[in-house]
Amino acid sequence: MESKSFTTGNRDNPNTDLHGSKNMMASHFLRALFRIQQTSTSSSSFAGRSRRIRRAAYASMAYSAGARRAWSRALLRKLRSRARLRFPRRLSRTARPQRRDMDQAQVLRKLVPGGPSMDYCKLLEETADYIRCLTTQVRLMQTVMDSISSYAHHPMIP
Amino acid sequence: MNSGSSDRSPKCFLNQNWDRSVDHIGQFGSALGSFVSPQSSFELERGLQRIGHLGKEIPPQSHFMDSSGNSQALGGLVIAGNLALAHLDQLPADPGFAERAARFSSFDGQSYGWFSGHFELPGSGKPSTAAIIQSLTASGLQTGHSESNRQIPVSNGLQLKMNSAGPAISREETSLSDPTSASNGKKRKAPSKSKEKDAASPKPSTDPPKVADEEDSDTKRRRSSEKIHEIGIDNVKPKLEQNDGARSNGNDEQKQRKERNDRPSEPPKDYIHVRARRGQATDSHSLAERVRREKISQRMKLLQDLVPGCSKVTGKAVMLDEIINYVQSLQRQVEFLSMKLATVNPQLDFDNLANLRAEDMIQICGPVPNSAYSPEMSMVSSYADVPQHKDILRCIATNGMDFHCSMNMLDSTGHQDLNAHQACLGGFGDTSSQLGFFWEDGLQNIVQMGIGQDQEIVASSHNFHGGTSPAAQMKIEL
Repeated sequence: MESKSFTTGNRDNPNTDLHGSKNMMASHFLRALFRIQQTSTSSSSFAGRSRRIRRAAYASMAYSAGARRAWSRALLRKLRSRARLRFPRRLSRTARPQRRDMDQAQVLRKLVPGGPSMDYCKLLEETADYIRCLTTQVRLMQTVMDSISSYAHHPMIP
Repeated sequence: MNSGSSDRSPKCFLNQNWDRSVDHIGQFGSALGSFVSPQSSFELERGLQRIGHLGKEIPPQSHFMDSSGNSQALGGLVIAGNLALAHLDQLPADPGFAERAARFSSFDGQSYGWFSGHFELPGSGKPSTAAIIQSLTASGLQTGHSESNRQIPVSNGLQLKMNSAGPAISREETSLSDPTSASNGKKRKAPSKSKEKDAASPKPSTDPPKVADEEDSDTKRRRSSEKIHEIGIDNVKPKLEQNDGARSNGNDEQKQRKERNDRPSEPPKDYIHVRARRGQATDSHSLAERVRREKISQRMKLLQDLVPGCSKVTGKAVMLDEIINYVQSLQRQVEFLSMKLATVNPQLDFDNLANLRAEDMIQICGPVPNSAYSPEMSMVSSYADVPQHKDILRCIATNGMDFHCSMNMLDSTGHQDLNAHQACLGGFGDTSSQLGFFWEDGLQNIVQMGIGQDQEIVASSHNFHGGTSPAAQMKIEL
């Protein structure tokens, strides 16, 4: 994606991939946030905005992973098709009475994008990457959140 | 004992109800004693002891209301019966008998199948003993228990007065080596772990193949502890096993569901079950399975590292639960944070974004003083005072601080910078989109700075120095 030009300088870094993807994720997400902020008017609903932000979060996750991962490809497909991103919400509603391997794999398949079309082995692999990406995204969002809020509350006065 | 009597024996068993009195066991034991062959006396004694224990555990008039109790009782009974019958030379290898037993045993697959799979009869290989076991169990289950003391005649005249064995027996390992495995032909049991059928190639020396062979008249008791948990697929079949190296695996991975042997005397054609756990399966299927399982365990280890608090958890099921919970919690966090950002978003304005750029420029200026910077950057450096600089450097120094670092730097910018920035940016023909690009540019640099690599800094500064071209690049790539 876009920051390929930047990551070229990072080749020597052993953590290139991770940092590169983090950069991508951060830039994409912040850009999206900026866009949302620009386009959202006072009349736009809070729910709509939050939904868009959430979609931007998942989009930046997917972009950062690129086409390397099955889950990111599935996620991008979902995003591009403009289908309503259906994320598992209110998961506690589903009481899982029987925790057996079968059910667990199925539940996991529902959680991870692209899950249903993977075999168990690949599912575990994709889950690992998905978790990595999710944690990065969550941390990014928290950081943005903190910076924005702290800036808003404590504007620096030189 | 003629075949007629032995033939009748299963029917007798079927028609009988189990006796619950405890004291008969002693009789049985003593009666049996005369019939056992030396090599299996040990097993018999063990079995009898076990049954004796069970008898003690059970009050004389205990009632086993549930079928599980029944089955367990039957297990004890059957074992005793097996012990008795195992050494009855008079029991012919009778396919018809076996089939009948098989039929009877098919009545209730579940509860008795569990333990029926567990005994392996000691002594000479008799095809019918397993059948008898099953018939016993079937009959027991079918008819339930009666109060009266019934004696179950053993074919050789032994009177078995068994009480229904208690639950203990079901828990105990009732592994008696199977004397009848030979004639019992193919008994397949579910393999230990994954219910795969590993039929060993004709080289089961390292594995205890479960083969039905007629050579095992002197098979000893097998370790069935592994099998105790493996009822799995086939409840009805007893586990026959032989580890004295009966080779002969003619047949292969075919899953055989037949209860009894149809060919009692065919050593080379018997199936050999190889427990994958022994690690010696040589056929392609089991190898592939093992590879797959290793891959899965590898991935599980990876996941264990990723998911916090999972290092002490063992077991796939619990691990998967943890993983699922973690993924769900992460997704919930994303939602929650996006909601929070939606509330905060109106406050996120250009100023804030400009701050990012400012920080970025400061960072660039700091470590790489020699770079030729745009006028904007020079302006920035003019107000980059030392404390900020220190801050930034400190942030850069901290490894692994990616976003936090960058965002902290964002915070330290003051309002005054904004004006300067805006002025500067105006010089670049700033439209909001362009601004956005510059901002992204700077932001990326910030992030890179946060990671704290000089090379990155140089590269990013270089990129930035490139002016609009990287921005244009980025625009295109966007």
